[in-house]
Amino acid sequence: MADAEGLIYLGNLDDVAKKALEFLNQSEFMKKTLSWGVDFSLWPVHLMTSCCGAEFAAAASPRFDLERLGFLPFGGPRQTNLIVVEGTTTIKMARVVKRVYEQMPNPKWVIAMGACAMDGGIFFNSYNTIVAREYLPVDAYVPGCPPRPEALARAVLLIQEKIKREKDKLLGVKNEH
Amino acid sequence: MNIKDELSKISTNVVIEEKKANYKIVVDDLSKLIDIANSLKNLGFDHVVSVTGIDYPDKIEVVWHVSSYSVDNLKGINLALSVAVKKPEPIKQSDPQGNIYIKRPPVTVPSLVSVWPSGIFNEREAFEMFGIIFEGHPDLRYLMLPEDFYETWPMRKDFTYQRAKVFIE
Amino acid sequence: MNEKVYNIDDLQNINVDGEKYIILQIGPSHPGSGHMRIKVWLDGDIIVKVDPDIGFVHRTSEWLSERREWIKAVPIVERIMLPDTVHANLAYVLTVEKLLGIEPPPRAQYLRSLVAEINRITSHLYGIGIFGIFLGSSTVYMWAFGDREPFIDLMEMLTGARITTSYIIPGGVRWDLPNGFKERAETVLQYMERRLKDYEDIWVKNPVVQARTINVGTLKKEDAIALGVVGPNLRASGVYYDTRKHQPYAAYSNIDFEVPTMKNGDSYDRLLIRVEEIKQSIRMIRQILKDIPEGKIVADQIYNQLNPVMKKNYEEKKRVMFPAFMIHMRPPAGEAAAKVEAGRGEIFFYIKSTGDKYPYRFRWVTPSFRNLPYFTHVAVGHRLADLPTIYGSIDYFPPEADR
Repeated sequence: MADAEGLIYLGNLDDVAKKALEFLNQSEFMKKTLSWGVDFSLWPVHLMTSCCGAEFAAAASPRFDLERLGFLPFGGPRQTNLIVVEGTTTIKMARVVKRVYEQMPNPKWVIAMGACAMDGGIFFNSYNTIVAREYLPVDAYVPGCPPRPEALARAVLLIQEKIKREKDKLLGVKNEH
Repeated sequence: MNIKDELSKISTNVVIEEKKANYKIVVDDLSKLIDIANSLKNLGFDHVVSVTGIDYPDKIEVVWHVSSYSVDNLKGINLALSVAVKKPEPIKQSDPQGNIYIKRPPVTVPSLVSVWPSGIFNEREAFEMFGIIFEGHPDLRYLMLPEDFYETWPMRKDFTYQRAKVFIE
Repeated sequence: MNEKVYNIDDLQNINVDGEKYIILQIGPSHPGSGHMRIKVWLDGDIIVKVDPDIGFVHRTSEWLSERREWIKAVPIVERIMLPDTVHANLAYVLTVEKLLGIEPPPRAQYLRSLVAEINRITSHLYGIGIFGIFLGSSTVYMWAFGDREPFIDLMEMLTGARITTSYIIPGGVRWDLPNGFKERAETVLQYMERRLKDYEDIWVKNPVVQARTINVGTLKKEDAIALGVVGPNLRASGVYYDTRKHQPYAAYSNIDFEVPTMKNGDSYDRLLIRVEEIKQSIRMIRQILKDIPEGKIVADQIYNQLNPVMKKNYEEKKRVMFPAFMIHMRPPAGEAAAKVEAGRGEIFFYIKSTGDKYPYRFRWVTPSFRNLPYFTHVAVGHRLADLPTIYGSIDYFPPEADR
């Protein structure tokens, strides 16, 4: 296939590149590396919804130190992939949480922390409170009132196991906007 | 100074229960409210602790609690100033489609923000929870409730609610 | 009636020319705002008007407590004031005891003061940590939250729970001191005294912190009295008022302590006064552990109503589970009011009872709600970068202001 001037033709470069990419995307090595990378860099949005926020702040403190799992609270929603709904959400605050959730890029996960986010907690039957699963798709629940910081670490480990189980879906995820 | 004598000079309807820490002045005439408040301020009571309402079947009672930061004898006293106002009848309105709405109108009381400026946020909260309009308040708006609850006065005893579907978007 | 009162869009044009100023909303999803929204009108870089928009955590504790039994209000009131749970618990129980006419025994009064002072130290450390984050220093946040943990361990050794303990009931307290508590407390207090020297080197005498906080957010003595602010903010402006001295409750009339006051009333004084109050609390805890008398931990009226199994439990293990008759407790008709000095200020309770199984009117005012005039009256005239400094120095906690 050599030409008179020493160049080598390999055929259509675009086609070959696309086939090589598809082969790599379906290999086990690529999926395991990507899910390992996402597991240890779950960044939550810095949005405090209610009184479980005090135990969330204590979980980032030196004694319980969730940052060794890659859990770093970050300021804006555009560079994060986890949202922790802590405690009771009122009607006014639920509109804000939904808007922040829609601004985060795919793929993203949700943790519902505390008894109030699960089923109303001690403030059930009030005219101003609403449960987390009525407006967001929840991935992990953490019971307790307030839960210990070790329980929040256990919830992060559950989300890591879920990512490892569903690693086929990580690639090829599209954002709507 | 003897507190009981000083308070009796201001008004005749004074209730004092030492053990339960209950000092109370009941005002019968709405037009004398601001004069009594001014004479209490000259005695030494200089800030408002809370403003609230109590709902009975036929009337609403508005209570101001005041205390003192500067006069030594009065620093340990919580004085309640209370006024009772009659509630008007509920109004029934009907839609062109035949639905009936029951509207509970609010009551009116003079505001004491000109005497004690520390009552600004307390009076706004009493307005949105009970339906008490304070005349002379510089900035009477809703404080904590969202717009789903306009004109429902949640803390009255005949407030019932049914959560149909909350619109979150 | 004026229909304009309800319209939220009219907010933009109240008293201020809407075209000349920029309106900035520092919203709930912001690292420097907490659970509230602050609307700021700006003329270039200078603040002209501030309007706090609260109500994002309004959990209707008054409405719920008027529809449930008397003893069920204890957990509700605790979870509203989370860094300061013991003081909220104590204020409610003092009011109910005034209605019932019960006095707890002396050992229970000393134990109540002990947990109250431990909670005051953890509440001030929480405030110092959050102030550090607002100024941009994450070192002080990590130090403060790490130093809270030994005190929370002391509470867990005494009551079994970390933060929401429900330790105080009408008539006394629930648990007695375990073995080894006094030695452990002495170790923790000596550790805290060593750490306070580190805080003074890094935080209090730091030239950057001093440049950002001296002469910022000044409130003079006459204005502080007229606006009705509470707590260490009031004492930093020069007013000598503390509920523990002027309306004594628990064992405070027998303990020897001082109440510090400062002169200027700016943000640097509000920072200094919290460090001074931690030192006074350490002194008080040592006196309490030395002087505590022997005796029972519940009043006689409660003790006589326990059944024989619970009495045997009390003699052996020195603890009182929640007796079932407290569910059916009905205080006689009347009204009562009580005040307690918490870490952030003064809590006020006013309860009216008609002898029924539910309270008729349950009213309470928390210290952060009374500190709201700092936003509308003090922040005007400063630059925009001074707003987090003023917010962090008054130690405002939104869930307790909304109740």
